[in-house]
Amino acid sequence: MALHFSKYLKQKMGYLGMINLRSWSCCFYQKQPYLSRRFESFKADKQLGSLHNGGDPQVMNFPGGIVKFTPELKFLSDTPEERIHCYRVLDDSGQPVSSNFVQIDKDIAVKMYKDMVTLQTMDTIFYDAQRQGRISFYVTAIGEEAINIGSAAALGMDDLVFPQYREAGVLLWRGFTLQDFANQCFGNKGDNGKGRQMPAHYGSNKHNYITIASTVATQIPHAVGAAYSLKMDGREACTITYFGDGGTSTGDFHAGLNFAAVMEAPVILFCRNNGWAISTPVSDQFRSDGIVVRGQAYGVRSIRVDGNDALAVFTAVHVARKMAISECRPVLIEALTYRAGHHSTSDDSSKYRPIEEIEWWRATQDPVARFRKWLEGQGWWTTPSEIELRDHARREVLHAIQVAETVEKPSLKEIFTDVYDVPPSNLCDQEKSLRKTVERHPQDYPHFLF
Amino acid sequence: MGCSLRRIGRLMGSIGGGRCCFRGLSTTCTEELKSPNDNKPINLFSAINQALHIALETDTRAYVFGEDVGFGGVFRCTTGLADRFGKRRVFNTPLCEQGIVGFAIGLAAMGNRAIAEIQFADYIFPAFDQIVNEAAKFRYRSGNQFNCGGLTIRAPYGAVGHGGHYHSQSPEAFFCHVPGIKVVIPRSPQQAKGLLLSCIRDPNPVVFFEPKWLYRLAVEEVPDEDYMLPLSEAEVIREGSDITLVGWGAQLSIMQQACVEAEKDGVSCELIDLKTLIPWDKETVEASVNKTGRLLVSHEAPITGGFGAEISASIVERCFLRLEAPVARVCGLDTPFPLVFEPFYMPTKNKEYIDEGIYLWKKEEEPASVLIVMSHFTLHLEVTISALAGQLAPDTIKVMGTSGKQQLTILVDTGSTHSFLDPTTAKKLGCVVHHNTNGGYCGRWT
Repeated sequence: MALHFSKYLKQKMGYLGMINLRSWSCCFYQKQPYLSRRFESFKADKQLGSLHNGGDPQVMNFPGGIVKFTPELKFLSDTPEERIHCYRVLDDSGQPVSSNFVQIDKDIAVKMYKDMVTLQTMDTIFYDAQRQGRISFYVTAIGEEAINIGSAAALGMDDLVFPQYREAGVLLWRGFTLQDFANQCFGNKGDNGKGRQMPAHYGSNKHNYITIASTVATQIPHAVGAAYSLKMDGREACTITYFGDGGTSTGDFHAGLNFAAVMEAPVILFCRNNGWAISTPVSDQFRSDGIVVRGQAYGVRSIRVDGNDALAVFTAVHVARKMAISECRPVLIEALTYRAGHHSTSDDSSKYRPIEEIEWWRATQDPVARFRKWLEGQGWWTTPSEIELRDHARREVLHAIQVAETVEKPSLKEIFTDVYDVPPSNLCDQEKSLRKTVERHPQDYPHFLF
Repeated sequence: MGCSLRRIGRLMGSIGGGRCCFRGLSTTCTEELKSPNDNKPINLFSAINQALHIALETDTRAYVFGEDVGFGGVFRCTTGLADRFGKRRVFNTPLCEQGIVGFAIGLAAMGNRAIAEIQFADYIFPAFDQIVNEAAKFRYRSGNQFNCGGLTIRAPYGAVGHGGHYHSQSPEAFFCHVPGIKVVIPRSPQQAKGLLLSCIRDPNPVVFFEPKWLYRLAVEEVPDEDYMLPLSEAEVIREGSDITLVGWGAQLSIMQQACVEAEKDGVSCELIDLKTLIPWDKETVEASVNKTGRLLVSHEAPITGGFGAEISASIVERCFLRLEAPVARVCGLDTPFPLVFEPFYMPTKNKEYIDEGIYLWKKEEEPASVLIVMSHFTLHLEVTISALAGQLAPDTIKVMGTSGKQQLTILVDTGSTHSFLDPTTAKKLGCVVHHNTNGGYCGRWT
């Protein structure tokens, strides 16, 4: 931003020609006569000191690297000639189309499938619970189960997750229980977040899963800063941050991607391109070929994967993680998928997209069904186990809801704690005043613990 | 037009230069900080630089970064840090404030001291969302599972004589509306070093605004050693009995001059440096106003919605019965910061002392013959006065408060017919009671 200031100076002092703008702004504040201070304030770095071309008239030694000259007047194309291909392992029917993927053993594969089904079940029942008025809000990950679980399974437990709000499955994979999920959604005493946030805003220190905020893409630069810390500490871990296609239009996405590249931070930037940002289709969101092409412009290695193929997602994240940690570099992953549910319980997506489109994705592209077919092909899964799993998941989720409903709300004092490490005097005064009001009019307030 | 503007610019430049000496006064060191060592006087940016050296030296998990920080910063605050502590702990960032603060939050969340520089406070707004929605709520929204308490955002603020719209602003009030962060502004080199170290080590995110006009101009002895000054504690830097002046940062040196001028006219001013704007030390200000009965708040930021309004409201709530004059605010104008008009925009000594502040009530030196004792329930003061003015000559009315609860007495209430002053009580208080046209009473001291 000093640039603006420098520009102003340059206009004023334009006749001086090439000047070192940095030293100018420095001089300015020293209140020294401009000309006498011109080259004295600090040493220019080598790059700027060697503007000559080393004798080669065909190149320009420009800050950032040597650039070749060309007589050709050619603009870069706005889009690649062909759209970037999408890495996939399993076809629609769950058959491997290549052997180029990271092998996973049976236990992991079965847990992946179980968690995908559990996530799907939880989403369905919690969604209904909201419709029944039992919780105030919910967002599902319907259609994005492979992204959730496939990526989670490829990470280490020491890797930190900076989520958006459609990655509950990552937390499920890490051991956050259905009761934990339900407690958060009901904002009861068992909620880690002490009932302060809307449902589906989970967070767990124990599971290295940073608390979700409703703000979109703001977590991306956080993940970069945290990754830099991991690098400085020499940890064998990376961070991963998730965001949607809409999130890539934010300043924080561009800031985060650029910072990640410049800081050489071990972070995986995982975009769930599900085609819709609430009602805005990607055609109204950006031009060019989606997200994956943004990476190269920022100097970030990137890949596009089939987000409905759990094995492709797993493999991409597994390899990206290795690169991120061993080479201290960011990696951008664009997973193509489809938001098969509504944006949230506050949304009816049939208002802005054809039902047939949703039906087609649900019927032919369901990531859970595709992975099951592969598991069955491996001989690791059977119909009876399917029935038992779904029945079990359903009972567990319902039980969690029933329990969560009966758990009391957090204590009233939790309004005032955690704003700062210790409540300052204004909050202490406000708490006293609030308590008096509640004591005088108990009938007007919900029954919270004092 | 362009030519004439340039001429004015030059003219103002010379005026600005002349005024620098007024700005240059640093406020006195507190006694207990005086080190036995022979400390050299240093300026404010060097004091900041010392604090950053100490912060990096004493905590290997401390990082300093921002635009142009690597070579020492455009104000030289980070000079020598990269050489001493390496480019991995002291580094340039891309030119992107939301990126700087977002990155810093992530770094701080991992248990580091992330000291981020925003090159000018005028450019902090791209990071506003990261500060307001992320840093400030990081602890609260997670139920204290995570925090970014190691975050300190440094930004030079305020007028500098030639900064125009985008190198002069004082945006502190925006941040004072945000629970979860602290806002701190030092007035002098010694304060800057001690407060900055406190902010860096405080377990909450802090926005630390540095008065850039004082970077080079304020010089005072600063202890070499590592010391911290308490946050959320205001300091009475000049004692007085007639009026309390509250300010922060560079404005204090202006207020100091106003105090000196006032003293020549026999007005004794008490000057308070608030230092921490949120959470602020109401008690110190309250105690002072209870002593003096008058309050003036002054800041460079535009008056409307400035933090002076909050101080005014809070002190009126707490000291209403003791106030002997309306709270005065001497602040910047409600305009963008105007380059060549800077001398007119600024809340200067003249405005503070003569025109808008201290002198106003002093003009009413004649003893008033009518006393209106205000209570919590009295309607608007102006309405009350105008109602009275129908019966009495305006120059005989004096408005005062009382601090004793026993004397809580409403004498005038234009909006209704209630009166809580019966003639018997009034006699005890030494008043002669008159019935007024609105059914209330007013009293006259005998």
